[in-house]
Amino acid sequence: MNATATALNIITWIVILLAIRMIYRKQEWRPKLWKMLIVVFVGLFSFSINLPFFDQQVKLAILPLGVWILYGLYSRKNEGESWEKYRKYAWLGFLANYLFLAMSILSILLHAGIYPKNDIGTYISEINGAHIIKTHPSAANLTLDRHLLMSQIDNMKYEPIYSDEWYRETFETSAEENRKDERFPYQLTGINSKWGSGVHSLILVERDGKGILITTGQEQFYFRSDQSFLKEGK
Amino acid sequence: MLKKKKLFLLIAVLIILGIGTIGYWLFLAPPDNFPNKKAAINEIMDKFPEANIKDMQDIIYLDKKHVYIPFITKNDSYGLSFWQWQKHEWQFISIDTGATPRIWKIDPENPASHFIVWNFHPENNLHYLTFYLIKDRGYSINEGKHNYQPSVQMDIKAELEGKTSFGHTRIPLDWCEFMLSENKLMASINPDPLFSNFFPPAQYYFGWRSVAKDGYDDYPPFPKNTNGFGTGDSLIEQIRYIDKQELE
Repeated sequence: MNATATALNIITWIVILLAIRMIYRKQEWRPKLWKMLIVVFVGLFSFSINLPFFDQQVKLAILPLGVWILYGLYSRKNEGESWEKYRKYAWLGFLANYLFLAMSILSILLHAGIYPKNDIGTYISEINGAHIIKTHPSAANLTLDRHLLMSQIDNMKYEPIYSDEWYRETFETSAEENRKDERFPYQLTGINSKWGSGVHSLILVERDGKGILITTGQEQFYFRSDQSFLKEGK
Repeated sequence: MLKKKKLFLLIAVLIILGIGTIGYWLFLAPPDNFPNKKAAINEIMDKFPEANIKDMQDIIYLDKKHVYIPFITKNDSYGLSFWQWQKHEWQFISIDTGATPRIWKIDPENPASHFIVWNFHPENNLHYLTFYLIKDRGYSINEGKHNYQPSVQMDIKAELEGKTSFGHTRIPLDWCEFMLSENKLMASINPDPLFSNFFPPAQYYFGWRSVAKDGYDDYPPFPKNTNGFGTGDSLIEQIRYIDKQELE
């Protein structure tokens, strides 16, 4: 679950409800409550484009399709009186798109502040059920030393990835022709990311037991510790 | 007035009961046993006479609602047919007469429900099969951002000695763990699942190799005629034969 997005979503809906109440109080017309809510909801419907923002996408509403539909339905009724009644609610629905846009931008910024991307603690927070699985035949028979990993985690350093070099190395260092050594032959699983971050990542461990390569849906991060957190045997 | 109301209520109750019963019968009622081999052959031959089935070897339950039936054709091929309990009947969903191993993703979301199923001609004299979960190594540099995709190659062995020509195996737990994290990752690439159902396909794939009792470890030579016949189903996929050179 993404806590910042959920919280801001709830706030957005509360703001919309407050705005509905405000219009309702100022108007002399008293439309039926359920009709009014449907009008706001239909008003939300829009043609929009997705814009990239910090590796994510936000929706920018352009055409108020919902408002047009409502206008088409109501403008002919009661010589336009019905449209007069509902007009503000319909536009409120459309404007709410921009409130959602602002909130999603705020959510992305807040999320980046609370759960920094280049902080390993964002991805590895709870490790009580952690273990490694061998994902490549070049992996040795090692197991995870949880205590050591726990103590190392805060001191791990963020380091650059040399993807092209690593790729080439696997072809150069192999002793036999059909045996290649994978730089990251273990997967670290049974881990929870930081509460509320909603982050999913694939975490791989380096052959020497000191490196962690984290792949998220957007990018990769590489961390190194001074000491290996893999140990022999059970 | 009161009578009318009571009558109305009675009809409503009857309708709800009726719908409930039909719904239970269609979707929840425990499955019947699979009818029998003869009926299965007839159903397939009705739809696909070209399948040329001579004999059904066995009826194997993967779970209560999923069955596969290995068979032999009139021109000496060994094949597989797949059946599923749906809407209160055993429905035939897929067939392959030149059966190389297939993976059946019974619940596509849950790798623990995936089975690999095979049926090899006995003259191949196979000793064991090896199945692979593979993801190819790769890298990319995009606007200075590096991305390194490590090679993944996991395997399990299935012994065949002294057994029937057909068999199946469940996906092992460590494969499940990898597949689940990979699937979740792929799903999170798209930040807005509400407005787009299109996820990039998983980057991993499944493969197989075989070793005969005499040590022969190339592609199994039997049957000689390789004219297979098969129908597709999105949840039952043929898995790839892996060349020795592809292994790491």
